[in-house]
Amino acid sequence: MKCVESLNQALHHLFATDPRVLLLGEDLLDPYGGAFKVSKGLSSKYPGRVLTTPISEASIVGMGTGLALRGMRPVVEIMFGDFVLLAADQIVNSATKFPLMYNSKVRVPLVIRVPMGGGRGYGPTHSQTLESYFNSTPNLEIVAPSYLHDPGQMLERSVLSSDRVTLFVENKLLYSKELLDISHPHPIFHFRQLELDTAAMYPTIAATIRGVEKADLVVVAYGGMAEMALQAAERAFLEEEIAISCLIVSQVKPLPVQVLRPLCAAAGKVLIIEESVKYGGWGAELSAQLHEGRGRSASLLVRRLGLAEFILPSAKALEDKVLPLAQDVFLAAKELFYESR
Amino acid sequence: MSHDKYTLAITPQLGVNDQVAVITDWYVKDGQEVGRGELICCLETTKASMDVEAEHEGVFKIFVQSQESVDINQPLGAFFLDYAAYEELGAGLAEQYAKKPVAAAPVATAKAVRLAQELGVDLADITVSGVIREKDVQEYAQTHGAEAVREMALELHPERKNVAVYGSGRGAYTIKENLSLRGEYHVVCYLDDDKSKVGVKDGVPVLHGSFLEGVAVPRGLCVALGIADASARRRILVRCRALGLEVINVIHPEAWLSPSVKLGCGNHIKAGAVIDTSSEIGDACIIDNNTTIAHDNVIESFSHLAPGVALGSSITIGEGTIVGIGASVSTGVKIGAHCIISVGSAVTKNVEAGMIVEGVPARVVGQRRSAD
Repeated sequence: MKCVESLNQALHHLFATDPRVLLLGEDLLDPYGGAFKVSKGLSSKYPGRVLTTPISEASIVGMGTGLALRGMRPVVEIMFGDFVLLAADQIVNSATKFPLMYNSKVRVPLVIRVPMGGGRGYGPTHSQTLESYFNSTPNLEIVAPSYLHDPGQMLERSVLSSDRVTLFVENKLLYSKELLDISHPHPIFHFRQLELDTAAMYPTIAATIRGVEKADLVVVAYGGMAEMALQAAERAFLEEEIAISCLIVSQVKPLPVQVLRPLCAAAGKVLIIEESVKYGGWGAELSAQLHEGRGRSASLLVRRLGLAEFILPSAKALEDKVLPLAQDVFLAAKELFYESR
Repeated sequence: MSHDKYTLAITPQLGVNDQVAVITDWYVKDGQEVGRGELICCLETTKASMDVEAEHEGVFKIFVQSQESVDINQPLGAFFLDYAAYEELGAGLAEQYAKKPVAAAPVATAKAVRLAQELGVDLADITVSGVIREKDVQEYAQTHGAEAVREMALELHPERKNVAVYGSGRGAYTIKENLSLRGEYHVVCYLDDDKSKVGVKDGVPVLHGSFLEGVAVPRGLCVALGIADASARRRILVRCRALGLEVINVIHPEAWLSPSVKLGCGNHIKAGAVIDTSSEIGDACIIDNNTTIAHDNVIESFSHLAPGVALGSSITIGEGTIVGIGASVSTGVKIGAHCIISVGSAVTKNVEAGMIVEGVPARVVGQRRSAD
């Protein structure tokens, strides 16, 4: 099944089972069904519950916040994640603040779906990975499925089980990608879902090299970078016999650091990769948390790979030079492997 | 791409960023005659869809079905010269260009593949959970490889002492010939660490050096060292000792050794060599043709005295030292370990370890880079 199908089916299931669920956003109605076809068929089947809106992201999120305050379970779609900045005030100063401002007497169970990421040649303002701007927003949850996760199940969980505002990050390259059934035997990797810690609602999946007991290093990634991590790990093992364990996170914030720490500590070397800008990014936060929580004696080498401080070009060839690709992950991992502790 | 009987229809590049397109509609049927400029199909990428015109004419064969994807610059069909050509080649060509199934996942790492090739191990024989690694091949070769060699049919002599000669070059052949002259030994095989040498040479099998244990131990073979490199002789001597294998001295019948000479093991003493009273030879030395070693000399292990070397008496030649052809050494001189005495030199004074000396009288001209 493709990621877009998984999300589409989840929305159909949510609409069928819970009348509180609504969808708001631009160009969502059939036959168009949204820019990435996630809402396809929904408006025909559930007239009046899919609201197509003017081009006004602040209003979309504001309406969603109001609906959530009044007991609905709204899902809002920002056509391109880049435009979520237009709704930043609604997210930072309203939706996430209301519960604490009103002494927890209100809840805002709002899901904001944001298609992010490059690699499709959409240029500087339609290709970014901007969720890291929201890492310092209290009371906001950021989640991102990868091709190893079940995106539909995650979406249902964020709509029904979360009482907070959720930024649901969908990598654009992921939409058309076949999801990998991790229960199915894989020639290179052994997959397992790590135990959720108390703060984590969304699973982290560990992809370890089959038949290898101890990883030489760990690569931590989420969303679209999962594929880069696994491709690099496969190559590093087949070419160099460097055993990389990939930890693919789906709960981006708050970080499931209790889940990640034991495996990172065991390997002693960690490469964190992200598609967002490296400076002040998700990897910086994760690195800091890993270091803060480690014992005095344990040695831990952390390196990060992310986007340079640069705008994303439109041409694929130039985009490839800027975005972190599997080749870059492979080289960074190899360098870290040969680095002495 | 053009052929006598057909021309391929190539999927055009629609936009700079596309690597693949989907054929949404065929406007022509398989086997239909198509004219140049006629629309044949509609292609769609993430951003655009476009009708494709026929760039040639002929009987058209469809390779990629409607709603299937095709890589940019790959053929989506072909124009055949006539029906006969279409009938003859169409189906085969369509099959040839059909999307290749994804290659089976590799079962071994690059390092494992390389080692398996070197050792002649079939990866299909190794079962591990996951991907086969270099260490898996090593383990397999050490256990199963040696087992296979244990079973190998090697021709043993019923009366003579059976010998495995380590090395398979010209030195090893000299040893084989020398051994045959005494009627005491029989060479069963050569062993060589260079996989490319494995095969049959001088009428005996050449086996990979990793099979030393598997071949020699169960058959009670002794080993002769037929290698020019001193560090390799040392390494193999250590291995043989660890395995409890006898490493023999190979002495040409025309060499003369005083009865009071003390001899280690693994030496090769060639025709015409003379070793006189109370001289001592260590292990794994090569004493070449017409070398004259007068009385009370000490030749330490892994040394090589080249043809025609003449030693006075009470001389010490240090471990691993090479004395070149025709060089001579004055009585009482001590030459340190790992020296090189150049061809024709006359050594009249002591030489410190690791030196290269040359000339008459010999002077230091350099230093050996490593102890080996």
